Amino acid sequence: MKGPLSFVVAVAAGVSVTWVGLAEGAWWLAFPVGLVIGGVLARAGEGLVAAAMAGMLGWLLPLEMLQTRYGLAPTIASLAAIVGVPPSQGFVAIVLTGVVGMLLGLTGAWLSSAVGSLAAPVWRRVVRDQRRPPASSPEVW
Amino acid sequence: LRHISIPRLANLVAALLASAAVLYVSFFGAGPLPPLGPAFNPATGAWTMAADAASLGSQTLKLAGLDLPVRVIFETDGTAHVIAQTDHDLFLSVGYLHARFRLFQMDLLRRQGEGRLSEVVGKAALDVDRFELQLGLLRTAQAEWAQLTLDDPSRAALNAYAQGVNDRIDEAVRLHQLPAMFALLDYRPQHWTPIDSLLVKGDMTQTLDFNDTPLVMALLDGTLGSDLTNKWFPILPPNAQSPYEPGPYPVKATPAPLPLMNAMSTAEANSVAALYQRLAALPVGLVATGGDSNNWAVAGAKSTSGGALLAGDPHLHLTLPAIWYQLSMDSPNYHASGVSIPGTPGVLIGHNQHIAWSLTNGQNQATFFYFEQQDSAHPNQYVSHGAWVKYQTVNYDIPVRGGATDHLIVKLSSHGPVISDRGLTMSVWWAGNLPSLDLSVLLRIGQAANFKAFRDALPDWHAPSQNFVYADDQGNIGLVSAGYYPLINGGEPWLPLDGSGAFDVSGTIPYDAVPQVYDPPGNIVWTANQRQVGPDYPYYIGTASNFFDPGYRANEIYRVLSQDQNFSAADMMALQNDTRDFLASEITPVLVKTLASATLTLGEHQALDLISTWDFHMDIGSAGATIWWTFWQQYLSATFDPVWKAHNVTVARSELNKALGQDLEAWTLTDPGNSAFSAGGVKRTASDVMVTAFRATVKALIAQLGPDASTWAWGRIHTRVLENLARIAGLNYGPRPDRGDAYTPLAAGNFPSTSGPSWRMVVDWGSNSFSGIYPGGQSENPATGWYSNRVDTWWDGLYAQMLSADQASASSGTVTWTLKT
Repeated sequence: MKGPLSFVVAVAAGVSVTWVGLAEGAWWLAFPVGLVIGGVLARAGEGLVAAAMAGMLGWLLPLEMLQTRYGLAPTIASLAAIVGVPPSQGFVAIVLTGVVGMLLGLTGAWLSSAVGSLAAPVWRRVVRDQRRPPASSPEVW
Repeated sequence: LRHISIPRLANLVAALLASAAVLYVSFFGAGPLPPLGPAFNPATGAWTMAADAASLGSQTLKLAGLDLPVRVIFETDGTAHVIAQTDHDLFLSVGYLHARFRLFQMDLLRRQGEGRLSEVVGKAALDVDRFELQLGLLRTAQAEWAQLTLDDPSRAALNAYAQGVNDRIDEAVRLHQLPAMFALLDYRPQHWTPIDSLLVKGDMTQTLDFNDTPLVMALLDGTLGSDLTNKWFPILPPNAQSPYEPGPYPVKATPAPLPLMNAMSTAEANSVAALYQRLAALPVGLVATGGDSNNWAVAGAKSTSGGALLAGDPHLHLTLPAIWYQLSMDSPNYHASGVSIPGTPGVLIGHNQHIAWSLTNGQNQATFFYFEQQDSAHPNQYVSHGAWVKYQTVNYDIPVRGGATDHLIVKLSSHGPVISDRGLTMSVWWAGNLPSLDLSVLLRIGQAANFKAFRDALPDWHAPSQNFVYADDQGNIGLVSAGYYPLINGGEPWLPLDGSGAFDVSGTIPYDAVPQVYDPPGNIVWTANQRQVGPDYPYYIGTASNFFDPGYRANEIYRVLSQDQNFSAADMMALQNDTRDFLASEITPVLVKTLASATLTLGEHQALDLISTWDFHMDIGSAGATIWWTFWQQYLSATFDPVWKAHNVTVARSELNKALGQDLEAWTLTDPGNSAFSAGGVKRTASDVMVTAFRATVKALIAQLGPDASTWAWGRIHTRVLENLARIAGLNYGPRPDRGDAYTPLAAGNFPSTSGPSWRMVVDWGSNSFSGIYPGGQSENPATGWYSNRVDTWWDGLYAQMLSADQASASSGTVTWTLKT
């Protein structure tokens, strides 16, 4: 898979894994999800965006489900109070939730892409060097 | 390495740092931020309060340990009615309900008592934990549990209650429904034990009964001098009060004279100062600071309905969630309706089918400090009755979140725990450290049908000493001030005592001799933390200063109830909401008379006109109330501050206003030439100081509120706030302008006021009507409609009907839970 399809698949898979992780209390799964996405998608920018989206959507979609089932207005007001902002700025709690997911995914992808970008050229050179016969080695008769 | 690109290496380093930062804040939080990952996890974090709030509909729930199905009916305001077929199931279900709605509050309360707050909030709470472990609530709770025999009904109740709490903890963990604060602080509650319930009871004992007055008296003795301290902080109140048991009293066999105070050594004084500072630094509620509760009863012969009336409003720190959870409990052997404290089974204040009861704090001295004699030749020993005795020691490990575990060794002398080693060693004897089977007493009260059974239940109530008011369905009333009243052979118990043995606590006043009345001739009984007895009472029970209330609320209540008329339940409610300041009613006429001959400015004249026509009610819109209260503070200041300055007194004068106010009241009314008015070096009388104070009052109020005295409404300076228990300011209620002051039956001391009537209950046995209200709601979840839904009703002085389970099930809008295994 290449191009937009791989991007969409990566985001969808990332959201699914993140969501399941949250339900089981493994909120940190967004980070390894980002690691994988950053390593799988070839272009660095693409990987970062996909992982950030997977993290953010993975955290916000369950909120949307809570809103649909229970209504979130009183909870948003309460969390706003806990965070220390007026009820009118309760969106801060939602933003904060999305940002946590996004940052976990984003940093995961950034880390794997940074490792990849550093390791890949080195690896290529090492492989190339191993394939080339040493110039000064003595011939064996 | 020669192949490594520097920019790419820098990118990797940056990615590593960013990842570490994000993961750190997500796992551990930073500064005021909680651990963001678990806290904001939509499935298991703080967002789950939405699901919790939506889960209150009628349903069937499975609880492990129930014998038979239990029915719980919730009224629309959240009041719960538990109907169980066995006593065991009743207490189990109450444990489940408490945990269902107040689990975080319960966990905080037990952590406070067992010295484990640092484990969840970090080293900021370490001093509190160390103090609590030294004081010994945990040791006392363990001893109480050990004392309960296997066949004691309260043991079974505590076990069943703990099972119910644990049923809820397991359920909440399984369903990801733990209260939001657990997510924000990132921990899970441990299972509940019966000892945890006894710790919660110990917390209440401490907040009502552990007192630092001997330290204050010692500091006054050391700075103000023994002469003035004896005069101004006497044992018997200098003002006229209204004891509910005026005597005559049983004769004491050998009444011991109370000697005058002696000067303390410098080392003793320094040790006292160090301990005083330590206690002063503790959070509100860990040291008792004087009670502010009311209760009274009117016999059937004096009521309009013909049945006895009872009113009770315990005044405590007002928090959200509140200290109370309202419910009715019905099982084959237990029927009670009223308020309970989450963490403990049973109704503390309420009624059953035949009697009603309420409590105020007894206030007698229950805390005694001792200097232990030590020397370097006898390490870890102290002198007791001429012999060197080894301290007992107890070791504690205090887990500290984000830090190393703290190790604490508590030394125990025969008096109690060593509480200070700064300078001289001091230990504390506190009645709350002795086992008190309060739950057993409450269960028996709940089952009592008459005064004999009620009174017979109370000898086992030891601490905190409480004034139990009583009214029954036969028109009878009574009051029993139950608890330990420690006696000391000589010495000066209001000061720290020599610990060598001569002044040890030797016993308590016998139960038959503690203050109590039954069906008195006046057909009324009342307490408001005043000294319960008159000057002829043969036992020392505490000084007028700081132990007992100045008596203004009690005087006002007595003034109303002693009128020649019959009363209704509505009259009881009006009295609970009474804002008339008794002290003001005494002093203001004297002030007005004094000012009549003084030369006043225009502003002072306007203020005088307002206070001349004032009705002594501390109402929100009253300018007279503002002028009065400010005047009284200025009057205290003008009288005593010169003395405080001259003697470098180390206790803030404002901390002693209630004690000094009694002196000032008495001098103003009966001794205006008292030398205290001239103690600053200038010859003055009460009138001189009143004029000075009034001028200062007007000047201060013009500066604060503007030149027009008619706009100086009390509500502009006096507000009340209900504080969130987790100290999240955004979840407070208020501050909001409110009526009352520290001396009115509707108590509202301080600015803003953070304590007051935590529950108001009125019972009329003539019409079988029961009314009650507390400021708060049944749930600690701020996203539910039951978090603060009762506050406005309470604020307006209104009440809700306390329905029986049958009445509740017949009312509209109720929700029913069926609990079964």
